[in-house]
Amino acid sequence: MATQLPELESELQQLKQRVAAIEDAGTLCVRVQTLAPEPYDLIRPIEVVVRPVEGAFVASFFDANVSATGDTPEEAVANAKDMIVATFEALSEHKEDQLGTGLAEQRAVLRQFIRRPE
Amino acid sequence: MAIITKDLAERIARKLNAAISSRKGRPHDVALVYHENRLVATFGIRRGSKKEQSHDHVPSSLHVSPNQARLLGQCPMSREEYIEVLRQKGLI
Repeated sequence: MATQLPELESELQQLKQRVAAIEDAGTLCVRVQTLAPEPYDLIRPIEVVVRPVEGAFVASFFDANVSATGDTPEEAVANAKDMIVATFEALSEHKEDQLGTGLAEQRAVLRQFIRRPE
Repeated sequence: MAIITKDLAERIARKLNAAISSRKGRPHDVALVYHENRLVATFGIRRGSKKEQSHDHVPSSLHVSPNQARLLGQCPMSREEYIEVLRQKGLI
């Protein structure tokens, strides 16, 4: 039993590396072209990157630093769309001097992608 | 197994004295983190009852590493230390 332990540890390490490689290969880009049924227009498409993370999926709109998690890639993207709208709404409810530097920049980025219909 | 679960995300929100914006009929509530009357960070908390539900998007939303987010929720990192992280990154 004692002689088998180093072999098992080595095999475990190799399996971990293989899982990490598989997870890395599972990253995909999704182009969001609508926020329907939310009452917002997309000025231009949003590129969302979906990555497997610890058994779930994280979808990220990196330009605006908005991310969400889902049990499936589809759920992660749907959740990311919800968080993009929710973040935009939350930031829009604050005046410029009520936002930290980072969130002011975040709002400026989101405004390039989203607007309320006139 | 998620690094940041829903339970830990809620602990982080409490640690940061975040205001919670509940949005009926939508998948997320939004945690709003304020410092000196300015909004400095936001993150989503998935609605539902599963405490182990993955919230691994929270670290990036808070501009910290997964380990820092975990420390924030589990108490070794204080709110003041988190605010200092944001300050050093030029986000406040």
